[in-house]
Amino acid sequence: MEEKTIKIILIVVILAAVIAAIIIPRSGLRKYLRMNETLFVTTNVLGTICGLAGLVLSIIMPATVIRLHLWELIILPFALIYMYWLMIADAQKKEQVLDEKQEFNMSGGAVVSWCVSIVFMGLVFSQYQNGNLSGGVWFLLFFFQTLTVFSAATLYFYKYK
Amino acid sequence: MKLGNNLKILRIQNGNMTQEALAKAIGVSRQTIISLERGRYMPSTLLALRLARFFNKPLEDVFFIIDEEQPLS
Repeated sequence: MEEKTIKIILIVVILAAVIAAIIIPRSGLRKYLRMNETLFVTTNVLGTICGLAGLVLSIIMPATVIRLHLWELIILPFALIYMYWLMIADAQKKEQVLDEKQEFNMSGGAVVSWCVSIVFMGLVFSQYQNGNLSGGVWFLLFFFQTLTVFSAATLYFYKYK
Repeated sequence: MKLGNNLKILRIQNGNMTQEALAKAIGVSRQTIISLERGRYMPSTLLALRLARFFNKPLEDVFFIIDEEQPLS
């Protein structure tokens, strides 16, 4: 796929999602917008998969991922599902769409991902210093690592804690 | 100090209510009820009170302290 095609796909999907996010919560479809357990689990599974895919691709072919905007394409499913969360919050006219345990588990996931990212970024920095890594890829590595660890840790805490 | 609860007993006494049905009635996820019953998750005061009110019981009949710590001398 060429860079131009990927850009067009991204713009069209994001535009459609934004229009849907504005229209649907104000339409008759709003009654179908409900937060549930499946959606919460799916979001975190998707976050883990997208994060892992992005992380692997950013390590093995960083230049292609940046040049072809592949990283934006990888996070697109995750971004769309979070947009759906916003639609639910908008339709229900409340900021809190999660229950207290889900919020608690997300906080736990955030703490784990913060701790892991310090170590991971230290490794990235050492590889950069040794000339094994280009400078431009650090953000992608940070972003995808955080996404993977946050989603996986949240899912683990939700199921087993 | 741990927090114990009688949620499973109360659920069964309440017409063999499922975890799903209790979760829906209280407005939380089923996983929250599972974790509460297994003693893995400590609820907020608000959630504990909502559960007690749902079962029409005093809070102490739903939640109780186990492994009481030794008082400081």
